[in-house]
Amino acid sequence: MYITDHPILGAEENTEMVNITVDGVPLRVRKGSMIAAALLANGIKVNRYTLKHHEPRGVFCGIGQCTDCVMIVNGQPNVRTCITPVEENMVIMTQNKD
Amino acid sequence: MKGTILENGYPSIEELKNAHRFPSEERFQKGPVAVIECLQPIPCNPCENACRFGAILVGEPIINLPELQEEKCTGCGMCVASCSGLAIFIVDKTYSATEATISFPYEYLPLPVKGQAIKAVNRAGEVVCDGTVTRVMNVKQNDHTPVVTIAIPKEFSDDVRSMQRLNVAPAEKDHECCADYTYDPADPDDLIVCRCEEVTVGDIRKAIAEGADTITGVKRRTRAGMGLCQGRTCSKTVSKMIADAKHLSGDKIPLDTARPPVKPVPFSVLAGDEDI
Amino acid sequence: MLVNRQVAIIGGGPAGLTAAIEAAKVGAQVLIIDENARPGGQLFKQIHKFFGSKAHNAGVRGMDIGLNLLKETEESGAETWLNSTVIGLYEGNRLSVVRTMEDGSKKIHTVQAEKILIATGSQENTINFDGWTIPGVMGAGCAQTMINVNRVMPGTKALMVGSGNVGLMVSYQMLQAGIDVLGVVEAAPKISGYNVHAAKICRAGVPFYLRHTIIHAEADESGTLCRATIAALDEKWNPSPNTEQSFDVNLVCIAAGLRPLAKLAQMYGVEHGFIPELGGWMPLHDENMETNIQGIYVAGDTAGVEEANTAMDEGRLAGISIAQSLQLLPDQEAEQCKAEIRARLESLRLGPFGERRLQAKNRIVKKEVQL
Repeated sequence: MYITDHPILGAEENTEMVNITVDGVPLRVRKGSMIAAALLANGIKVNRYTLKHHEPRGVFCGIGQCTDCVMIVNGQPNVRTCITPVEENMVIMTQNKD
Repeated sequence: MKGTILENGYPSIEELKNAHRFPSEERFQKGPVAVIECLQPIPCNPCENACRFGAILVGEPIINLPELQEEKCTGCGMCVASCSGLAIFIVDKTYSATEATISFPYEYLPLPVKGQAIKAVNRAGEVVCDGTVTRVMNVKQNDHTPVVTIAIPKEFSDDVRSMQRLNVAPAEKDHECCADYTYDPADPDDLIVCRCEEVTVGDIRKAIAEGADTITGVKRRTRAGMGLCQGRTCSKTVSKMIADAKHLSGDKIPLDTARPPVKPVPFSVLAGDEDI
Repeated sequence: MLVNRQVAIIGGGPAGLTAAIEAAKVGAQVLIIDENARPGGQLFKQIHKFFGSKAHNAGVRGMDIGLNLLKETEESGAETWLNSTVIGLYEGNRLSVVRTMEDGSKKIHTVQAEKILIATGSQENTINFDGWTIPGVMGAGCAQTMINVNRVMPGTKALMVGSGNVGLMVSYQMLQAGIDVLGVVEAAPKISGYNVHAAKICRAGVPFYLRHTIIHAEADESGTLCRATIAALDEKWNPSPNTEQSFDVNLVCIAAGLRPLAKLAQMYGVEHGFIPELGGWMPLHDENMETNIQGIYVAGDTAGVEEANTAMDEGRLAGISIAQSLQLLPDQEAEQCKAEIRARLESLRLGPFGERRLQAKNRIVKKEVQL
């Protein structure tokens, strides 16, 4: 869910959207937002699964330090999605999903 | 009222009066006046400049509590939105024969409108009476801190300090009786410490028992801290576990070795691949 | 590619930007390197009005201070590389930077600078409890970033763990965003942040659970958080049986303090000290924010966790010191500016909430920290 109006930040001015796909599913998300945030806005909270126990992980630090939100972005693994903005036609995959 | 400000989170009327935060009853009877509910010496003084009548004094050092010169205060309310702690209120006990007004900062949406019936709440957020909005001031210099004024029965004027938010249902507190998890005091050996490499408390305890007495030592045995985040997330926990196990203070556990790259980077970039 | 600059600043947050402004405005050739798409560090998530002295930004919202700093940085002539990550610091004041070029490609650059300021900030501490790795459990600062910078809801019903200023402020900001905050859980017997912050969320009806801790988080079939359980602590700080309370929440925020991020300083051999009141291990500095290695400076949370106001003043102090050592500022003028900043820093550290930090900073500068 996006926060469209806010007592301090005001009404959202940036309503430009871009098209991405997440695990093959097309999504329209707010331009310029971080990948992890764009996914959260669409109810996607799992960014990767762990290697050993295949447990789901999501954003934890939100500022590029903990690396728990890494995903496969345009074919490149281990991209920190909390500090990487979405771009038109980005192909995003849950890391180690299967 | 039980507990102190440090336990309740809000000051009691007694605490406020003891700290000379309440204007005199005489002053209240003369018309609107500021009540500055600021009780801790923190470095802050915007209220002093906000008052154009010079009724608020902080001075030096800036951790002084703001002192209200009640005879100079006109109850104009300019200080309310200036307080970074949202701790200033305007109380008018002379509003009518039966009602007082309270003005308070209200940084929530939706904003109420003049004439709207609302539930007035006390410092603890409990509804104490009904009220009516008499004014909503949200001018530019408030910088998104609207000041709402409500009329309430006079007898609640020392208690009411805000209104119930309009977009939120009253809190349901029934969870208190329905815990669905029972605490197991057994050692949580399978608790994850290193999120990247999925190293558990048990793994780390075992490493410490085997002689690891540094973060690096634990890392070598368990891989804790060897993942993508380079130990940024778990090293402090590992350090504390070693300190606890060895009965050492934190300064006796050195940092783990810092090595490049400190952030994940594809090998192709390091190799200068033009296509990345 | 090798790039030479007089001054390299790692991290474009409040400390990095103020340092860049001070050094660049007197003519230093300054390069700011930041791994984010936008500089400003954590200022833009601080949407509340700042405390401090009215003469220096008190009463102004953090995000607006951030906008002013960006404008001043631009006017100062400092150069900024965004989306660019420093991955190492090596002999000869050389930085390895993974730089994102205008076409989006990434290139490795080496930056060599006479003076380097490490202003990489801090990271939130964690607490470990059963289920703390479930998506939906996150740092309080993470939730704050999602709400205030990205304008997305990380959840709809939340529990906050920790009652320091971060826990209190983020609880308030969650309420402002429309998130229901079911409680603030604190292990200590009293609320540890500013009372005025606590009073705000009390008026909104948020209860405090003192002498409690979180013991369990539970995921639903999607693998994400749906429930959390807290318990009261006994005299030995262990959870007591039969005191559990569960909450239906899809967001648990951990506000357990922060610690300096200083791997680059450590890698370069900068002397560190263990100072719990400033976040634990941290690089030590002198009264000019310079470390034991000449030409290497630290400022802001990297030099001990405090808050944005002190970070900005430490950045200014470092920037002026750098300009002075590059002989871009006359000594007398530099010393006068530095004395004013030091006095201001001291006043920001007064009172019961700051005095331990003030004493620690004094010990650092007087080199009384045991190594």
